[in-house]
Amino acid sequence: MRTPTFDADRGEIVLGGQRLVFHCHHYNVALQRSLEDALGPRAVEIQRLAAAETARLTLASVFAESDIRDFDARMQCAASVFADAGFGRATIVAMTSMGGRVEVAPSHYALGWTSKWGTTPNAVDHFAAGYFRGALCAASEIAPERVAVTVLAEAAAREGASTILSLEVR
Amino acid sequence: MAIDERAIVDAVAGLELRGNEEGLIPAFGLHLTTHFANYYNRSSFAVARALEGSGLEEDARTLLVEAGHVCAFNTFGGIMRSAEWDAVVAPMISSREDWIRGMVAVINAFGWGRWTIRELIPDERLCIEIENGYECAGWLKDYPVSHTPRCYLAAGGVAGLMNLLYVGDITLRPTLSDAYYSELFRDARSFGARATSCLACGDDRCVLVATRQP
Repeated sequence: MRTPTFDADRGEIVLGGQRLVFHCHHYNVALQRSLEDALGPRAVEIQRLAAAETARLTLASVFAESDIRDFDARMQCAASVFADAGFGRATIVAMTSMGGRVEVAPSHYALGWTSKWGTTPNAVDHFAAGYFRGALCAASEIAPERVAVTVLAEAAAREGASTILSLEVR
Repeated sequence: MAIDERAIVDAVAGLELRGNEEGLIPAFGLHLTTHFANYYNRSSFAVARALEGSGLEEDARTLLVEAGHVCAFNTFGGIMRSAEWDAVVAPMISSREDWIRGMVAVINAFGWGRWTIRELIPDERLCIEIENGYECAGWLKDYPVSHTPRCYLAAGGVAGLMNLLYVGDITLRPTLSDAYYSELFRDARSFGARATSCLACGDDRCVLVATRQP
């Protein structure tokens, strides 16, 4: 099932066994900035790990529930879930079970950040980096620590830019 | 006509908000996401836990609640100024307080748990009860019973409802600028909210009370 279910009596939206909640770009980037104000560079890894873990758990369930077994189909499904949730358009480039590249443009987080505070040379797309790390873990059914993600470019760096992620299985 | 919460929840849920061809959800003048509750929880609780025992616990709470204020101002404010509000909620509004009742009904379609207004004294006090709030339900899944409330976003949201209506005047559809935010949330008349019960602390639900801050 790739479509979230809504239980009005419990006030719960669920996809792949995980709760989803509506939030807008103002809150998303304000919270991110608060985390970074409080914890400095540590906040980056915290956000990436949180995104990776949640994506891995959610997508593993989605793949099982939808009986998606093919690796490429799983990565395309991950990109669709990402887009359906409003995080932006992700293009899976030259991806194998050993890694590859993901390009995100537009990116919700970059768009939110630049609309409030302008372009930045600093990394912003921590959620996307963690999400696709978790997606590759789920698609390959491997341990999370085996996947490394490197951010090659950031959509918030300038107008019209993409976030480019390099994923590598070690 | 009274606020029909179920009709509002059904209408908002029926919007089927999902990403367009660009993977974005533009709605209510905002860009929405259907985000992972656990992502927020893990990230927020990491800050709170990192600062516990350092003497900066209250600073951590302030940061996280402030993000909730930003959410309330922009999300609730954006929704109350939207065409969707005009179409679905506005026809049910017959009093100033119905703006809060209508917004709470909208919130109940967001996946944030079940919000119920226990008390609303105009311009003075708002008490909201939250069942199955995502922050505190998430806390209990991953951590021991807490010694302090964990409904940070909810506290910002409850205070924000009062500030939008009684410190500012959202019924006049003001522009939601940075200056207006400061006017609503940095004023001597601004409301703040505190939890008097919290699911994360072992209570059966969260209860948040917004009053003017001393």
